[in-house]
Amino acid sequence: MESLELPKDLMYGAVLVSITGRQEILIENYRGILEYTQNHISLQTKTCRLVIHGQNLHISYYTNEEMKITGLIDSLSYE
Amino acid sequence: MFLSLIKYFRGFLLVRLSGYSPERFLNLCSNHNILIWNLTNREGFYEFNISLAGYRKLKPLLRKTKTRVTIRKRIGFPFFLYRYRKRKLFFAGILLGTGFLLYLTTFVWLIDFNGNSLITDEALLAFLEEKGSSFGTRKSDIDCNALEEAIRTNYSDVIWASVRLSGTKMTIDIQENLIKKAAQEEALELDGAYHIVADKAAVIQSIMTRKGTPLVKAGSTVEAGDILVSSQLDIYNDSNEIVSQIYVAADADIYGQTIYPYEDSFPLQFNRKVRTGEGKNVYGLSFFSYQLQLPAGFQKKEPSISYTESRQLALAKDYYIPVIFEKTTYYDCDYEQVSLTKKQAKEQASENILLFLKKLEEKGIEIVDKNVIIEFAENECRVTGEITAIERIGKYEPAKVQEQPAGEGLMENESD
Repeated sequence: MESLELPKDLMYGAVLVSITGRQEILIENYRGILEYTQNHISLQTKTCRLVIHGQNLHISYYTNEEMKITGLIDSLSYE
Repeated sequence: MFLSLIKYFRGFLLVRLSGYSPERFLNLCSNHNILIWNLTNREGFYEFNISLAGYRKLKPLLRKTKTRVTIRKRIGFPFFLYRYRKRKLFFAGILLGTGFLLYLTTFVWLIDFNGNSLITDEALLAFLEEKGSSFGTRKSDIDCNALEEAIRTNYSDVIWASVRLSGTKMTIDIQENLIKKAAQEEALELDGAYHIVADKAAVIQSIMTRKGTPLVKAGSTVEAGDILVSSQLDIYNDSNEIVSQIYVAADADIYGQTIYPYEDSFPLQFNRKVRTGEGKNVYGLSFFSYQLQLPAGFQKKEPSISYTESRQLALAKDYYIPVIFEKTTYYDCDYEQVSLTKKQAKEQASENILLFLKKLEEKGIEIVDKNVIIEFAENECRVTGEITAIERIGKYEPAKVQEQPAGEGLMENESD
């Protein structure tokens, strides 16, 4: 599988997370929103859940494929 | 930026969401491709922006998830129109303004000349004025083809002209004949009897006659007005007697050595304006003869140097309107006395000479020799001298044809 050199996000349907500093997170390949409050956001991805803890979390926009979150980020964990 | 402009024109809402399972509602929205942005969570409810089109699709989702939305704010152009629907004069003003601008675009407001070097822009502009095709003419009144024709006939130096209208801009492209028409060509056009006469005093360098009787040789000195090649051709008979004379348009290549006197003088000491203070900007708008200036009532101090940048405003590319924006910067200045040293003066003098020579060479004159003396009188540098050059000389002049009885003799001879 590795020798094919295919992008991993395509192969496993894995979630892609890009974090810019402490203020901004761009998440691609997610399935849906499970919970959204000011202090934490949890998202469903194909294989696991993604939980973002922070303060004043704000969703700039979200579509079927990607979501942009701004605010002060404390931590990011998989469950 | 562009995206938010589109959002504004489509119109969008700020809504508040509350109810049983808001997260499910949000997921359904993304599954139904309803775009939601600026989503925030407050105690107990969510607020987000949604497009007008998206909002109309929400009803089934709300029922399914048992949530409720309330509209907090209406933002965008459709709502703007609705809010001001009673202000009829306001909309009439917008319409009138747009209409006026559209009306203005049916006129020519900018004329652009390309390719003219001998004929000045001002001369061409005056010519267009005469033809009734200047600034502010209706575009439909301008006949491009006729104008091209008129330019070509009026200016013999113009060998090609093109007039184009695009937007409110008229572009006139001209090709000038920079090389003097070859004498031969000119001669071919001539019909009848013509002499070639010297147009200036010269020493003949070379002469090659194609038609006519040469009256000068290489080395002879001529004055302006002397006949170089006569149009009169003598016809001899076998016993070397002139039997008749015919007249032709003389044709020859004649090169002569001419002398150009050169004179130039400039002061060694003079006053020059020097910038002292910071510049002050004055902005202005001018519309025909009306002028608006900001700051109003600006008084410039003397002495001053001013630079003006002016730009004609345009609605779009090539759609210029008769409003000119001007930015003038005034700088306070002082007079400073400048005195040139002898070396600087010499440099200045030779620069001037080179400029003069360049101008001559542009006219197709070959410089053979230059002889220049630089003199320093008190407070003045004077340059005098002579420049020797080789150039084509001669111009056509109609010749007087003397009707002689001998002319009939020729006819007789021919008929023999």
